[in-house]
Amino acid sequence: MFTVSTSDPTLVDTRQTYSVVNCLADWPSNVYSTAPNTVLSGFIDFEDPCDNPFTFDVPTQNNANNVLTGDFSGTNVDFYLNAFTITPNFCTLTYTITGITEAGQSSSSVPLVDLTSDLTFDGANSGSLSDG
Amino acid sequence: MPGSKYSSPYRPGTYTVTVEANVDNVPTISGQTQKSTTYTFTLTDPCDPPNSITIQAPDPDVDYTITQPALTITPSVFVADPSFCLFTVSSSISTLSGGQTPISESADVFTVSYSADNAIVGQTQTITRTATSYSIYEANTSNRISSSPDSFTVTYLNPCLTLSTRR
Repeated sequence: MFTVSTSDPTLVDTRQTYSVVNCLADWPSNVYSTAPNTVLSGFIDFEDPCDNPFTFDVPTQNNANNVLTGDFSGTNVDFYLNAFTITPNFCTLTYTITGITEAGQSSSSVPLVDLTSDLTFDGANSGSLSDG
Repeated sequence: MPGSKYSSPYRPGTYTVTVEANVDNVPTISGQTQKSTTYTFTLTDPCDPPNSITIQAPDPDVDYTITQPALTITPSVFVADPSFCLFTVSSSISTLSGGQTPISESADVFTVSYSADNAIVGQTQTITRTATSYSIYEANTSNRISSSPDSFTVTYLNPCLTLSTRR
């Protein structure tokens, strides 16, 4: 039985060919050119594990690091997002602010476009909604 | 426009923001390759209540010589902190013993005029003004604050005595 195992992301979505050579142990074909052998070949398709990640977790946000009140003083309301965790770790994520609602109102008076963000997890706050 | 009184289109209130993460380069399947989180922030109403309301400068006491042309008094203004907070100004005028009403008020401007007789000579009236905050977003009035009273007096002088003194 053969086992295939890899963590090489460059193999994702590729087809690799494998071959198994059967020969006599005492008359190996790789030593004796006239020795008989049989070769069985096949393919291994390496699927993308990011299609269905092993884990994909949303961490608890650390609100202690956030200033989530504003009083019209012109100071930004900052939210530092803790990164989601995913395995395999070569699966990459794109973060998007997708919505904002205002309690008790049919539409938010703070429009989505007014939420600035960099969402780059470099530890630098370069927007009013920033990264962790 | 919401919040326009605060030079902002935003309303005080509680907001919930949704941040979504999508695994790159794979089909989007909610819960599998797409997950989200939310956070909530609050914009508090800085005028419910404001930090303070104060008189810009105390108003000086005023003398008025009866029979003289009407004296217009434009008192000092109140100032709110933050400055964009709104307030109303109310005033009261103490009464004279004879019930005369030489002082009238309109839009926080006071006019003093009296020429009927000498009955009020030597008497003093006190004008007291108070500013009270309000918010365009307030749910009830319990958070309103008032300034310290701004008071000044109007003392009525005798025109005959004044003329005599000038001689």
